[in-house]
Amino acid sequence: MSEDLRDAREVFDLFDFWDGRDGLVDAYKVGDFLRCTGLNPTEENIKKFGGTKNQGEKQLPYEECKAIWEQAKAIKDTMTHKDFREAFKSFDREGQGFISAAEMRHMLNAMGDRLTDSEIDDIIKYTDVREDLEGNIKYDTFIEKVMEGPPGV
Amino acid sequence: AAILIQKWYRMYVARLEARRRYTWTIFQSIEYSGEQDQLKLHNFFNSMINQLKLDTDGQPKIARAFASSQRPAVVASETSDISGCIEGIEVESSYTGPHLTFPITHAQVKTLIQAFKAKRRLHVRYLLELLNETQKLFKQMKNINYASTSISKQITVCGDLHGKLEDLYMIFHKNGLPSVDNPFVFNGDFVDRGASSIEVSIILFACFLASPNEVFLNRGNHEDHVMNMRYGFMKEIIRKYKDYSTQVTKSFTEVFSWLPLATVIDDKVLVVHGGISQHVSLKSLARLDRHRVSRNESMICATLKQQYHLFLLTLQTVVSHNDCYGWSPVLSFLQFISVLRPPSLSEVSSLENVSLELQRLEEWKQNIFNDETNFLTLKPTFYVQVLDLLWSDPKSLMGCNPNTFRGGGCYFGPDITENFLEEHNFKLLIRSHECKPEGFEYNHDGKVLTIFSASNYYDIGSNKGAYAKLMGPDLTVHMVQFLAYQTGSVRKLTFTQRISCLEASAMQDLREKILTLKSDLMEEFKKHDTEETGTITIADWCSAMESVMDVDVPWRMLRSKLVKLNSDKRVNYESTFEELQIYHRYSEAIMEMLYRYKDSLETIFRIFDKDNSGFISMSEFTDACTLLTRHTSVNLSPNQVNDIAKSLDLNKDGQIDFNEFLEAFRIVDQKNLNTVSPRNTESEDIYDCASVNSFDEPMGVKRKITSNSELSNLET
Repeated sequence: MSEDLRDAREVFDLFDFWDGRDGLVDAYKVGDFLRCTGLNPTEENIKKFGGTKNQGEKQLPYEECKAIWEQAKAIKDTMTHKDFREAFKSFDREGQGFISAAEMRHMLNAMGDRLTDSEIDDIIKYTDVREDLEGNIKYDTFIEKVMEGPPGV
Repeated sequence: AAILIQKWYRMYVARLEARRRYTWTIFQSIEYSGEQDQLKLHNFFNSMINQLKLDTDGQPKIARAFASSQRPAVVASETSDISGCIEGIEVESSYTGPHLTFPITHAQVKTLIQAFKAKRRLHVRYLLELLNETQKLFKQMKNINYASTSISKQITVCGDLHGKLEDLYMIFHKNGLPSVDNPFVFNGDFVDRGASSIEVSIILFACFLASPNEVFLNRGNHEDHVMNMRYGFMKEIIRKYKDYSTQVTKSFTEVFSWLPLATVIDDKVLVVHGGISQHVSLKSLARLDRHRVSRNESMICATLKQQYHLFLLTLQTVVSHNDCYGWSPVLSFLQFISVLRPPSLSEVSSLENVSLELQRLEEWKQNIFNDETNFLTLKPTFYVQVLDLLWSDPKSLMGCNPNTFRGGGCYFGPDITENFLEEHNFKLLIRSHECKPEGFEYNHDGKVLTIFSASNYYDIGSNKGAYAKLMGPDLTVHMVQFLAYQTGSVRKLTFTQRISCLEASAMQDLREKILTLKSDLMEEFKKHDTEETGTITIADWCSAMESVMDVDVPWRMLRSKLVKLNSDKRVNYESTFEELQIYHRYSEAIMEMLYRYKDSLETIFRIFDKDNSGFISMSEFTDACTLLTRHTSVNLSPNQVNDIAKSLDLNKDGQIDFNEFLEAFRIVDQKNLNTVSPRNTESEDIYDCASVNSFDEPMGVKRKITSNSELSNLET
């Protein structure tokens, strides 16, 4: 058994412990499960692999979770700092390295794997990004923080 | 770009949650493995105490200790022992604490609360009188309370308080004091672990005496003398009422033994401390004599699968000492076997017959335990029911399985709940016994509600406390959550910082537990290290940790925090012990063993130390060690025991100061060379018997966390 697979097994056990120690993990936790193994799938992929949106819909035994994990592992994460900056640049009308905070909120709220307002508030808090007087943020530092990954694990 | 940010955020949250959860798992696993140990000791001692009928001369000390340490809870007494204790105690004119007159009124409850807030202590005479009145009233009550909301239209249910006075204050602040319009149910575990078990008990009993029809108290698994010896209540009594600790202890034990076992609200909701099992039936529960843990029951308890070997061991001990004890105890033992299987007692007149009896017993045991169904169809006994009521936990697996986590009671599944509720026409089971991060939790499709009212239970920031208000004719449940701290100003910590603090705290607990098993672990590591490189694979390290430690934690996830990897990804296993060292004054050879069994030894010491002086004689200590070897798998030769005894007698006066023994271990953090305070996961550091003056001990902080340990005040 590879080291990675062993890690995944332990994460499954941890989730199972919290789920009632019955050998099954609720499918709505698939996303979190994968993230705790170090993978970072999109919401769309999570659903494709078998995750559900709501609690109580489906219960997955280890074998199924393992299969989902293997699928998720196969997908390569290809975005680099450069790609990121390019994307932000398109919002940066004045080319000064700033983007309006409101626009970023809108972007996170309306596109991709949408986030709620309170989740966006959290992001601002965790990355310690500050709006200037005109409501803009310097996106370079923000990108750096995000690429750095979540702290402490 | 949006997706990248969103993925980052989700990963962040998921990992934070995982950390929070395994921190919790660590705290809980360590807690329960301690409880498991204690329950074994508890059953062992109860059997010993009940079963030994001893002659007065020529006894070894063990026997004498048990004979004279009569525990009121296990011997049915006609008259109360408490009133005897009160005689001769006068209240001095210099006493500035609260005065009590009986019957207790609501005004006096308020007086008590004010006094405790002002850090006064209740005079021992009033305390004993209060306990006496409480016990008298409990005695008149049945095993099951019946509460009604016909007048008040609502009722409040609180869970474990564990001596945390600030949580009780918080509840009264938010919900008002008990009265005719404001009935309460307190679901057990009022004492142990927290700093103010005595004050919490006093207030609860006073409330009960002031409104006996509106305040309902259930017994919890910590309302028990052997638990109290390990988990801090005894220490608190000794510290606060040193000169009268024996009387106070005895009185509390007496009161606890009379506590009702459950409360039924409006014939719709059952409130009980632990849970239920397939053996529990309210009808038979109502009939049993809760005060008398009769000999039969203890014996039967001892025959529960996990205790059975203990029972045989005890029997064998008695038989092998028969020259000291005489025949009567042997006969007594054998008599009780008859409850399960009729022996041929009349023939027991010689050692040969006893051996034969033992042999038959051994065969019978084989038969009965080889066939699970046989065992389970044994008629459920009273003690088993009480054990199940106070120790069980709900789980998602169907059926009833032995609660291996705790060592007592069972895990009950949704089907057990369903059947039980249906049989009694109840709509909900409310229980406590388990700490929950949000202070409460629903299980079994909303049919089981766990309520836990001690916030910050494991450490500051670990969990909220909660209580439930059941309102209206349908008893609709409204949960109220809270967080209570002892002193005011706490600065804001972010959620992340709080998790990091808690995590650090849990890791500390875990490291110390690892330290107690150092030699066993090294042995196991070396087994994997066949080429003696000093390193092993990660997988081997994890499996070694799993097999030696008896806590269920995610070792792979924690590996990076516990041990170092070398350049080719192998674990340098000695680095497992690098960070902490035990600093002690005893010889190396026995140090680790003593540290590992510190808590069990403490319990045994307290049983011997009848006058609560904190000293036992060398020979009593030797006996205690012998008991320990019986109870655990530790093998100590008489020479080793003597060596230990000699080294513990630090000033060579033939007496061992066991408080000194307990305090003698200090964990030194090698990295920072800070002395972390004496470790004891179960009780608070403030139980330092040296500092008797400090009634206003700081609550909550188990150890000195770094300067970042402040908290945000989350009131829901």
